[in-house]
Amino acid sequence: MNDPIVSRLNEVKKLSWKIHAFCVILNTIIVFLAFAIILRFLGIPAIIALCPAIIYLMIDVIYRIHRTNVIRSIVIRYPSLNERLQTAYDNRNVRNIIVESLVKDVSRRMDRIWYSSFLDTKEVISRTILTVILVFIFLSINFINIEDLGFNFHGLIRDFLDQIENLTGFDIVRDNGFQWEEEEKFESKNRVDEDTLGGKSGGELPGINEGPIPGFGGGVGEESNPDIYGEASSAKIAGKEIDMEVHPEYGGEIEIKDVEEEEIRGKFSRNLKGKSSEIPEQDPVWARELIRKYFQSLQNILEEEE
Amino acid sequence: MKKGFQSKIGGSIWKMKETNEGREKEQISLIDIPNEREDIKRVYHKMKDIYNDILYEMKRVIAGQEKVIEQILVAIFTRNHALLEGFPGLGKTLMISTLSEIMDLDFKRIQCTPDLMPSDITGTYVVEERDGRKIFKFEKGPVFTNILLADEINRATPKTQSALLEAMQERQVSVGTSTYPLDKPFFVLATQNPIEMEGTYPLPEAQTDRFLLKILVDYPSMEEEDRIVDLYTGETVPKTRKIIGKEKLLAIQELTRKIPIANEVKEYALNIVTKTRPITDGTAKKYLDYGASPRATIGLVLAAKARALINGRNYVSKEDIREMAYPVLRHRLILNFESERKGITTDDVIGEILKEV
Repeated sequence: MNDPIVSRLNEVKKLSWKIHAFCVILNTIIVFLAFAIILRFLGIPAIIALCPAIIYLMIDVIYRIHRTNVIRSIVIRYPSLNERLQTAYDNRNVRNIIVESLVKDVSRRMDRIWYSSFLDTKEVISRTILTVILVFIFLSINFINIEDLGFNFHGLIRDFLDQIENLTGFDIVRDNGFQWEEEEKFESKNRVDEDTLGGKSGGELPGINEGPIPGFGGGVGEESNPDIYGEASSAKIAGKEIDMEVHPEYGGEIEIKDVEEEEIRGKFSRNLKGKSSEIPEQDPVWARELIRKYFQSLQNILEEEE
Repeated sequence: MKKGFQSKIGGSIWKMKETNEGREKEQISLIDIPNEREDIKRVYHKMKDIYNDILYEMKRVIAGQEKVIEQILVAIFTRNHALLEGFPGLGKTLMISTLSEIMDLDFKRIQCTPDLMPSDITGTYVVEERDGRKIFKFEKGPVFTNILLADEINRATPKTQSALLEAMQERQVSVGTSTYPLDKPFFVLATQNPIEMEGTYPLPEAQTDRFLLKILVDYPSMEEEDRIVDLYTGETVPKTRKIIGKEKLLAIQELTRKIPIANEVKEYALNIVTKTRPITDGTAKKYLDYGASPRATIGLVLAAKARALINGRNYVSKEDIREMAYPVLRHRLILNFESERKGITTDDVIGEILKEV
């Protein structure tokens, strides 16, 4: 058996896998960062970018396992070994003077193989640079508030979709369930019935628009839901961003965690009580009854606590 | 990669290596294979020189025709027979007789004619008087030689041609109830010319298949012909010297079969031969009635091995397969009527197939 050839090939195989592993990891990082940046722009948590990164990792590993041929990878870099190496390997169990001389010849030529030749330096450098750039972009968008820069991503998408709608006549926004602020109100009109405590635009919790009127981002989901508390969400109070949690087990208690300042914990203040009559009459007639019921139930809860 | 290689290296001999600067000596190691014969080892390490020396001696008599000489040697080194086709006066007979001189082999020639009988080739029983008694004695025919030149084989009758069949295939002759083995090595190098087809008996497919190669001898170039004129119009007739004997030739024949071949290259040869069979759509179906047999595949791989050895390589390359595909396949492919009408040759079809594979 031509052990020298087999052992040399194993050596190259190990090296090749190390290089492949490095490339796969680098590519996966790039995919993760690219998706994370896109998701960050869309306002979706960046951690979701792990999914495409893991899928890419698996596909790349499977592809490389199937495609990696050590002999071919050597032959590409060292054409003089082309048929010699393949022949020596295929005849590794043959023992005669010619095969032995071939093995000796191939071994001598393989001694001149450089480890570095298996590393595509151009590719590695370009990907490393790309990774650094993506890391920089990712960190930047995490530290800089995009809206502060006057960049309205949602507005851009909406304008873009509007233009497509105008060109094609196809209602992309509605057909794809893409909802905007004005339309959300319209949608909740159709969907929320009398028993529903919260709709798409209505909710118990204060939203982005602070005040007694529930705003965008606050409240429970689109479908009817008896749980009026929901999960923690961010909100702005007097221009200050806060973290707020409402725990059902505490009754009406809410937990307000200031982003910069110390944690505030307490009951709803008396003066937070609202009356339906204080609400500006800008809502449609059909919603008045719903809003009235909403504040009535809130009032009842507070009174029961007292 | 710089780790030590535990090779079993024995003594060393000097090997001539051809470089741009000329011939230089290169010390090479003899690889110690316990069961390998010493003569095989020595012949292997001198193989390239042997071929170069044969070529050098041939060039003293024959001008040009390197490819033809190479192909004849391929047939000899693979223990096979070759059919040479070319116009009269191109030196086919001279080439073969010169080769037999260089190899120090017994050489006999048969001029095939329609009245040639099988016994004229194989031999016959003659009555001999010994100690006052008359006994039958087998008188060996010209087939009992090392190199048999069957000149203009297509002029012999099919009966006589078939007498060569057993000798070529079995390397033995059966006369009556007795069987006589032929000398080793044994080759039939037959010639035929493509013109004057009247009164000829074209070789049947079964017989042409027994020739490993069909070698086309073409006209020499202007420069080559100029040399031929110089060679044969001077005062002295060029002479050759012996380069290898029977033993060395037998060792070379053994070595030829030891040449390793990569699976990929073997598959390449298989693909070429398979593509000549008109079973699927493609070139073969378009131009051919019959394709090559598995004997052609064996022949193609063997011929490629011999070519690799001649060129001093210890492995078979695809180039060897491509190069040998023409002489191995050209007499095994039967063109259809349409191809013959259009004047397409088997070489054209082989060329097409090689492009496809």
